[in-house]
This record gives sequence, C-alpha cells and structure tokens, in this order.
Amino acid sequence: MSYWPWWLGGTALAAVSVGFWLACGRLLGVSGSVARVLDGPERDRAPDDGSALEAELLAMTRAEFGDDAVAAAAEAPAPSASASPSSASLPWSAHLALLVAIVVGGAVAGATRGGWHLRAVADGLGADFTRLVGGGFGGIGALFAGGLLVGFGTAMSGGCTSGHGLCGTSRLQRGSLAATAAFFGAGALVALALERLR
Amino acid sequence: MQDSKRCTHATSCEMYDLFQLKGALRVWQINYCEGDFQRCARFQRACDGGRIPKNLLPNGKLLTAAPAGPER
Repeated sequence: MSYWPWWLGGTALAAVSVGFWLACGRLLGVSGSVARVLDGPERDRAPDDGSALEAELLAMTRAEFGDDAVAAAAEAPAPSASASPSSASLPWSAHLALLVAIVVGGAVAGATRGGWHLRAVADGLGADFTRLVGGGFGGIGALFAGGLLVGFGTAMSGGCTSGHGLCGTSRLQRGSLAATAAFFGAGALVALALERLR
Repeated sequence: MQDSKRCTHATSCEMYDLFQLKGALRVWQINYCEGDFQRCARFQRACDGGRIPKNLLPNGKLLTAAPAGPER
C-alpha cells in the first residue's frame, strides 16, 4: 500500500482541523470526543436542579473570592474568540459522528489505495510490525498494552496528537508543545530501541 | 499570549463549562483555568490519575448540587 505524500497528508489534516473549527466552533480533540462519547448522552440533558446548582455555585463563589472580586470578574472580558471553548459543550451526537467519521474515512482511504482488507490474527500486522513487536496474539497483546498507555497518557495530559499536536502546538500553547514533544520523543526513542533490540 | 496560560484540561472539564453560565463565575476561570491552574484540585486529581468528582471545585470543595453526567 502506498501512502499520500507528506504535503498532501499535512494539508488534509490542517483542512480537517480548520474545518472542524469553522463547522463546530470548537477545537478538534479526538481523545476528548472519546471521553465524551463514553460519558453517554445523559450529559446533554440540563440538570433537574439547574437553578439550585447555579445558586449554590454563586454562593460558594462569593464565599471563596468575596463580592468585590466576583463583581470585577463579571465585568472582565469573556475569553476571546481565539480561545478554545470546551469541546464538552458540543452535543454527544457530534462527538460520536466525529469518531465514526474517522473510522469510515480510514476505511475509505484504505480501500481507494488498495490496502484495505480483513485480516485474521494469524496474518499478522505486516512484516515490519511482526519483526519489531511480534506476530499473532503477542502482537495483538502489544497493541492492547500500548493502547492502555495511550489512554492513560491522554487522560493525564488532557489531550492527544489531535488536540495537543495539531491544535495546541499550532496555537503555541506551552502545555501542548511540552506534551507533543514528550509523546513524539518517546515514540521515536522506543522505535529506535526496538530496531536495535531486533 | 493569554492562551498559553490556559489549563491544558479545560477543553474536557465540566467545571469550565459551568463557569460560563454566568459572568460572575468568570472569577474561577481567571484565578484557576486561565491563571494558576496547577493548584486546581481537579487538575491535580487528573495528574494523579484519580477519578474527578463532577461536583469538585478547583479549590477542593464539593458542590452538594451535582452537575449532570458521570464522573471522569
């Protein structure tokens, strides 16, 4: 299977990121959408005690900061248009649609390039993967373990390659720059180590 | 650059959404989300890998009226 040239893939990723912002008014973040989908659609419903929640929140706010600070903050400018609103405020269905589209898009890309087909476990995941990580159920197990680490890391750092790597670094957010440097650097080191060991 | 000081977990934080309900609640965002977010109790729980109660405020106190949705 041949891959898209780097410049075309990069342009496509940028188009998706910018398009998501224009369509939804939110930054793209796949791990955030995964978490939101797992939360379930119940969170779309307003809390039954919404007024009680708001009243208690205001009371605790005044107790914490005092009336003067609260009044000053109320007059402070709201986050600018360039600041990213929370992706959690998108409806559940939008997050689900994003995840489904990723899977479908990958399948379509694979099919059009001639590289998509069902594989049995015994078929392995390609010669290079088998050489570096192992084949059969051992390779599947390695993928599962790697996935667990990815899930833990994205939850801990508040984002992944899409949220931090694409959107955060392009906006020069220090946390995203650090996170992206960490996971790309770790990936490169592990890949080099596996090459040496095998 | 204001965005560079923003909490890296803001995009998935339920409390960040709640603080946008009323202008008076901006004080939480100013002091925590867009300020010294490392001292936020929710941020610290996330970094420790623990569950974050949905009613946990940045100062470590708990709301009795819980926001909608399951805990993270």
